[in-house]
Amino acid sequence: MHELAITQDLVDLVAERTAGRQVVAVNVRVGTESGIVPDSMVFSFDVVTLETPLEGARLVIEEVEGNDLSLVSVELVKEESCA
Amino acid sequence: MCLTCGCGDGEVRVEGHPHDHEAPHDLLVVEQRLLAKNDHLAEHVRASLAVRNVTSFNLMSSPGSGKTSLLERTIAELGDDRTVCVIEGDQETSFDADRIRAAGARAVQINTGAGCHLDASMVHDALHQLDPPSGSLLFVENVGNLVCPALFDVGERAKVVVISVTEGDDKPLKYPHMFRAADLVVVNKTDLLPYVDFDVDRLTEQARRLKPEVRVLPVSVRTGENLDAWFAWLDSVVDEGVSDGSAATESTHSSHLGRHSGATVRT
Repeated sequence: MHELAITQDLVDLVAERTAGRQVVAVNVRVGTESGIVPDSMVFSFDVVTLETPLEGARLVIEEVEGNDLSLVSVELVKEESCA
Repeated sequence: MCLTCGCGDGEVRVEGHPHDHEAPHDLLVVEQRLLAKNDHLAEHVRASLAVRNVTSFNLMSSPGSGKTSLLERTIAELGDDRTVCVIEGDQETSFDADRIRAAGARAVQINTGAGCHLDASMVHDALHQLDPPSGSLLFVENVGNLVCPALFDVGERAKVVVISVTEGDDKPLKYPHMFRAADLVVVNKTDLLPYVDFDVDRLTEQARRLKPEVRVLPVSVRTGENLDAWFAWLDSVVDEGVSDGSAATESTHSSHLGRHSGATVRT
């Protein structure tokens, strides 16, 4: 279950970048040779985001060739129009 | 879906919200590798070990392949020639660190609890305790597991995968991430070859399909067979530096091995 450790790092990274704003979705790229099982990552994501500003957010995984393993972007609740 | 007002993807609109939701969310583009934090710390570990003239090896295998036995024998045979220090990784107990200390080397045990691998931060913290002297060899004996440790750089100069002949010769293709990462594959317990269906050539062929230049080194820690080649390989890493498995060439290894009669490295 190395996915748990890597997903925890992902959530920490997102939390650092978003400063407590409510997160709707996290977009990542996972390579077929990265050693990461996407389903395990989704499962881990739901566990490690509990009681954080990421709770309830979707993890959207784009599967690609190779060993890429990257956080691509984060979708946040719009501050002005939805405040 | 917008979690504040409920307006969502496509045509979903919440009555009474006049605002346009064509772009309902702010998009923050990040583009960052997920292992960046670990890799950054691993580089720091590698650089600080290089400054101290310490050569580090990440030893990975299934449980029971003989990693600790290989280290005990290495410590005994190197004797005063070269100091060996060991970071041991296991989920529980300090059995392995106790064995290493009994063999006469410095050791720090890391217990990962539920964790299935060591990472750079654990090794970094253990190094503060271990404080390996200049010129020493540092072995990081990873948690016994052919899957997870392959992903985590711990600041090693070279990665060694140990497999024993009782495990079966089909492991490289079954665990490709591990064998793709290896700079050296040690095949241990060759004294048991007459009793098991293990074909060293088949294993070598599979390992090379994943990493064409990988060296495969059959040894028996128990009888000492071919351990000269193991020591020669360690020397070559110390002398040449194998930062990513591609720096040292086959020919330079051959010249090192020439100093040890009877040693064989499968090339």
